[in-house]
Order: sequence, then C-alpha cells, then structure tokens
Amino acid sequence: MIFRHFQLSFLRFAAGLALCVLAGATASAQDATATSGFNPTEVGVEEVSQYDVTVSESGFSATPKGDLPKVDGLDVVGTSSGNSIKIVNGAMSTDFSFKFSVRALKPGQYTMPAFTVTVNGKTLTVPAATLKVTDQPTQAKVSAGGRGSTTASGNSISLTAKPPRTDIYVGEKLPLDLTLTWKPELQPQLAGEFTQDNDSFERVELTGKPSQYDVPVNGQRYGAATWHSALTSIKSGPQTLRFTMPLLVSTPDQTGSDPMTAILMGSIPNMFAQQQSLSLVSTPLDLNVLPLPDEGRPGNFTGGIGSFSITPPSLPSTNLQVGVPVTLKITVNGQGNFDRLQAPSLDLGTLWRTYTPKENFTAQDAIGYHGQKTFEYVIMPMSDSITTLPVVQFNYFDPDKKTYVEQPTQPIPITVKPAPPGQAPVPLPAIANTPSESAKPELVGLHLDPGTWQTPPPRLWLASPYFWGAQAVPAVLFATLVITRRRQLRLENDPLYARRLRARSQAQSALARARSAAAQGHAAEFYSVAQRALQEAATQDRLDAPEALTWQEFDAHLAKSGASSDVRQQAREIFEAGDALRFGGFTPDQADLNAAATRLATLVKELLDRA
Amino acid sequence: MKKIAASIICFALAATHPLRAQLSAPAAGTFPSLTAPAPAPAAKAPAGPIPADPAQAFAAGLAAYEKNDFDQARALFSAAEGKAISAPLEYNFGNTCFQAADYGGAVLHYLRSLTLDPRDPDSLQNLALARRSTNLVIADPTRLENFAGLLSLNTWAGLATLAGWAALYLAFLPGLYRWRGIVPKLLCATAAIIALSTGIGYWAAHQHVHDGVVLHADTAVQLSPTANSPAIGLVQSGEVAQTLDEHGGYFKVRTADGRLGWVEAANFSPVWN
Repeated sequence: MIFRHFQLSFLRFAAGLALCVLAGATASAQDATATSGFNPTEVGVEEVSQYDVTVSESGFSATPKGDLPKVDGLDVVGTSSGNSIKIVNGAMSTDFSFKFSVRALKPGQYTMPAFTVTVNGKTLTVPAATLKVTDQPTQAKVSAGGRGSTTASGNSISLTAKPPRTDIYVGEKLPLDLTLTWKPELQPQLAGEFTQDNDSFERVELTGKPSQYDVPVNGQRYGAATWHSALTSIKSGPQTLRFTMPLLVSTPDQTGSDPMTAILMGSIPNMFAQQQSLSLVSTPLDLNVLPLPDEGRPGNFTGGIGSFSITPPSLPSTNLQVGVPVTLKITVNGQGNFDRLQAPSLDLGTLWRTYTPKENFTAQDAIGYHGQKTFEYVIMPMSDSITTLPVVQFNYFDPDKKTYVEQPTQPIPITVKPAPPGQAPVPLPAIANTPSESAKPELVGLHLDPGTWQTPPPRLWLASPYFWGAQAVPAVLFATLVITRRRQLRLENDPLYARRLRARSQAQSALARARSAAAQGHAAEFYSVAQRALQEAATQDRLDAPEALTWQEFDAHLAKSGASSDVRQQAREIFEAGDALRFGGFTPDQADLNAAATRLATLVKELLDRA
Repeated sequence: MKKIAASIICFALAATHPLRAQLSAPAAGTFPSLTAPAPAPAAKAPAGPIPADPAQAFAAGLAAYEKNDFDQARALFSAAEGKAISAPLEYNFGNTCFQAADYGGAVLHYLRSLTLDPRDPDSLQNLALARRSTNLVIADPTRLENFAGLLSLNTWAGLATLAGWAALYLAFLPGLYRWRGIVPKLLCATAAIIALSTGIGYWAAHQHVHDGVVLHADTAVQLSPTANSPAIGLVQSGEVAQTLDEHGGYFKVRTADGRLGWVEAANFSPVWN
C-alpha cells in the first residue's frame, strides 16, 4: 500500500479539516474525480519524470487508498504527497495530490495503466498515462517539487559543469567548476556517489567543501554551491560528458493556493517538509579533445601540459670532486598536469653518472592544478675535465599557444677536483635514462638458429608435482643414512642392546631349525636346538654366553626375571626330555616332537616378548 | 660417504657456474611456461599457408623479415609461437614488432626471450632500445635484479634445492660418521651460503613471474573490469605491470607507480602464463 506512507499529508489534512470546521463550511454533493499524467511526458534514459495523481472529492474526504500498478522497466525512485482544502462560495472540496518520481533504464514507451482508488467508500478510476523514454537525454533538467517557480531554464534545481574552455588536449588537466543551483525553498544534500557517463576522462572527484552563495534567477535569489574539480581526458575526439549527482531534496511542498494550509505551513514549515530522492544529471558538456601535435614535439618531452616555469638548478656547492655524488635540485612552478609531468632529462654525456631522480609535489590548491614540483637528481662527476653543470632540458606543451615550449637551463660553471689517488671511478659508457644520439645503440639483427624448441611450454618447477615428488629421493636417502648410522653407533656403544638383537636373531634362527628337525623326526637335533633357542630367548639381557648356562642357572634366571611357573615347567620339560634322549634312551614319536615344537614356539615367543 | 658429500658439493658448485647456465639456458626445463599463444597484437593472418612445423614458420618469418614484410613476419612468428617456443623465436618476434613500431609488443617478446635465455646480450640490448623508443623512463635495475637475471627461474629453483639438501646433509652427516677436521665444516658453510644466495636469487626472480606488458599507448587503467568503468589513469606502451587477476577480458594490474586497476586484455599481455 503505497499511499499508507503519507502520514504527513494526513496531518495536514487533519489541520485543514479543523480549520474547515471552524469556518462552518458545508459540504456539497458533487462527484469525486481522479486525474493522472507524466511531467514531462518525454525524457531520456535514466532521466526522471514525475507521475502525478490527483484525486478531488467534494466536501470532507478521507485519504484515498489504492495500489500503484507496477510497470516493467519503470522504477519509482521517489514519492511525495500533499492535499488542499478549498472553500468556494461556501462549498468545500478536498484535493489529494500524489507524486511519484519515475525513471526508465531503457528507451521505449511506458504506459501506466488505469487503476482504482477508494475514497470515502467510493471507487474511482485513475486514467492511464504514457511516458516516452528516448535514447538521447532531453536536457539536464530534473524537476524537484514540481509546483511553483522554475529557473530560467525551467528547472527548480540544476547542475552545470563549466571548464574554462572546451578544447582540451589528451592528458591535459583542466579546472572544472561543478555548480548546483536550487530554489531557495529546497534543501538539497548529496545522497550517493557522484558519477560520470564517459570513460574517456579520468574520474572527476568532488573534492573538499563547495563554496556556497546566492545567485539571482528571474529576480529570485537561488542557492548555489560550486565544487572546484579538475578534468583530464584520456582519449582524443569529440566527447560529451555528463555527470550524475544523487540528491536528497527536502521540499516544504506548500499548497500555495490554500490559504489555510499556507498559514499552517508558515507557522511550522519544517514539520511538513517532504524528501525526494533525485539523480540530477548535469547539462551535457561538449568537449573537443585534441591529441598532442607531433610537430615540434621534443624527443625528451616531459609530458607536461599547462604553463610552467623552471628555476635554475641548484647545487650545494659548485666545487665538486670526481666520484663524489651531489644532489642537483630543480623546481618547476606553474599550473597544469603536474601528475603527469616527468623529470626533465639531463644532457649529461659520458662524463657524469646519474640515478633515477626523486620527485616531490606540493599542491597549491585542492585539485593539484597549481603547485610546485621538485626533482632531485643524484649526479656524480666522473672527470675533472668538467667545467659546467649539465643543462636541464625542460619542456612542456602550452595549450593556449598550442605549441611546445622548451626552457633549457643555462650551464652553470663548476670546478671538479680529481679524485684522491686510487679512488677514481670508472666512467660508464652510457647512462640508461639519458638519451644520447652518439651513444644510441642500434637494433641487433635476427637470430637465424631457432634454438631448442619447447613444446608444450615447460612449467614452473616449484608448481610441478614431479619436482616435489623428486624431493622424496634425497629425503629418503638422508633418513636411511641417519637411521643406519645411528643403529650402527648404538650397536658399537651399547653391548646389552647388541646382545639383545643378537639373542633375538639367534633364538629365531634356532627355533626355525628346531621346527625343521621336528618335522623331519630328528629328535636329538630338535632337543639340542630347542635348548639353544630357549637359552638365547631367556638370556637376551645377559652379556655372558647363553650356551654355557646349566639348567639350574637357566631356571634361576627365569625365576629372577619373573617368569611364571608354567613357563619354567615347560622349559624344564624340554630340557629334561633332551637329557633323557641323550642319556636315558628316551625315544619320542613324531606326535611328541610336533607337540614339543609347538610348545617351544610359544615359549620362545613369550620369553622374547617378556624381555 | 665422504665421496657422496663431495659429489653433491661439486655438482652444486658446477651448477652455479655461469658458463653452465649460459650453455644450458635454452635447454628444455630451464624456465617456467610462457603464455602459450601470444595475443599477437595487430598480427595479421599470414598471406599463404601457415607451415605446420614451427621451424618452417620460423624460417618463413625470417625470410619475410628480410624482405621488410614485417606484418607477414609477425604473423608467421605468431603462428610458430602457437606451436612451440624458443628464445630465438621470441627475440626475432621482438625485432619484428620493433620494426613495425609496436614497441609494447617488442618489449613483451624480448622479455619472453630473456625468460628463456636470461643473459642473451642481444635481447638485453634490444629491450633497452625498445624501452627507450617508448620514451619511458626506466629505473636502472637494482643489484638484486641484476643478480636475479643471471639465471632462469627454474635454474635458481634447482640450485637452491640442491644446495639446500647439500647443506642439510653436511650439517648432520659429518657428526654421525665422525668426519673430523675443518673440511666438512667448510663444505657445510659453503653449501649453506649457496643455498641462501640461490634462494634469494629465486625469490628476486620470482618477483617478476606475474609481470605483464602494456601493448598500446595511452591504455586506460580502470576502476573495475567493465567497459563503462571510469579510468584512474593511463599506462603507456611497453610499461611493465604486475598481473594480479583476470576477469572477463580484463587483467587486474598493479602498475610500476603502485596504481591498482584493470586494463583490457587486448592492451596487455602477461609475460608468463
């Protein structure tokens, strides 16, 4: 419900109603009417037109209610409303006025269809209205308020851009005054980003606070604000430039023909101010952007366009010494494109060495149009035969005279002392940033051998997974060398560790041999090797020879090391079976051997793990 | 083990020798990839069939150049570049652009040639000449930049890696293997210095991996990658800028004077891909 937002209108309406009652007006029985229309009826793309809806009702009337239809491509960018109460010959009538600022982004014909509103329970039809939107902007004109006086060009508020001239050179910096003018009853304020519609210019900024003043327009004093900015073109040819300034405009929206409301408005005007969003488009600025002429262009053109003057070069002293650097300082004053003004070249020859100069710019205004730029060259004499300071080849283009201006400095006499013995620097054959015709190299000819073709183009190694994969080789090699060597050193320095490793190895080996003997039914060999496996496994933390242990020593060691009685019993059985075989004629069958081999494996494993 | 360490050090030292780099510069794998087919600014289609073999296109380009038919030579070199690359091809391409007064293109192809063969004196001289022809004031390279230009990026990377491993081996293995004396320490220090210096060389060379060249004069640097975006300044043909991003036919660049903006891809080409 778009109309529901107009509470202020309703306040005014209530005030008017009160006055009306005091006046003792009577209502008549005339019908209600509704009208609509666009103002203006033709605008350019992105320009704003105003769609007005007026509902008139005889007598006392409540605020109309209804929905504004949505039209594709037509955006509502601002709204305002108002009402007035008239008493003519004792008959009262109420006019409601609704204003919608609309804007289209594409050219075409847009029709706001007929729609209905409800007033005092009656349904009124608002007629259709048509707006034509063209490709070309009609004029830099946006109506704010829409009622009452306009400026000489027909605007209540307008934006103009004014450069000192319309012929501008590519790269030139030109002052630009942007002036906003408005009716005194309006109160505009910036409400967004200031933009331009032509990329052939560097972006124009609204820098600093504008200067504000009053200007007379048709005998009325208008408010005005001027921003001082600068314009730089980057493409030659005829160019048209427009600026768009988003504004929020406060309007008193006085219902001038209604004396009762006017009285009320006059007493508390701000209370009833309306705000409207506008995109104010400036008057088109037609510029002729010229390329810099080739004729007379110095080979070492600084890029400066404007009016400049250069001060004589200054040195800390005119008594120099070979190989000792000094700072040569020059200052350029004036107005123009200081941001593009490059360091003037020095005609040095081969007797000086120089380095890239430092720059420092001091602006004398907010836009950097007037100012002073200082260049500091570090130079070093390479010969004591030098008698004058190098000439500074300063030049610029004067857009008023339309010609290049060269201002070489005068040679300054200096004296150069030779370097102390043994400290003389070697003169350079050429200076990189100093064009010298005599030393200018020529283009070296073609290479006739195509060289090694590379296809597809190789990749950056550090971005290749193969490169990182290849790093595994030295990493693994390094780790292997370290681990192997550390193990070797431990074996040398830790006899118990070495014994443990050896015992485990021997126990495993003996166990394997015992299993083999058991499988082949060689009982004598089985028990002999089994005893050895048990000795190795049980005594891996002893440095004395395991094969020399007697059963009593072996059992005592098991007991001391915490072996269970079950383990000790099983070990005893193997030892005793071996002794019985050797000394008592014990002859185990194959089943006994297999069972003994199984017990032996378990026993050896347990003894090894326990350690 | 001493022999292994000595071999590593000898290889690292040999790899850093300038002569080795000079001899092996154009060999495969000594530099990162280039932009495969160059945008070929203003390169016209060659009159006649394009040789399928890049060597034949190269030879035809030479012949066209000798006849001062630089448009035809550019088209043929561009066609060859689309199939394979070599330092002489890029160098000749640069010469052709120079003769056609396309100094931005000349700078681009000389830089590509130097990427393949960092110390080619002809490329260095013609690059300086092309830059001078653009009237750009180019700051003298710093010592670090001169140092980085001695070898290609991949050579720096290989040497730094090799020397790094050598330094690691020599830092740990002599203690483990009880190699006494000053020699292992000297070798370790040498390897560490080589690793550090080649690492610096790699880092300095890597600063230019994202470089690109402005191809046309008065190229606008825009605020955003759209046709209607306002310009914040101009860059000139042959200027080198750092490529930060690519979007919709625009490159986001940081210019030499620190401005950040977008330039149209038709006016700019990265040296690397």
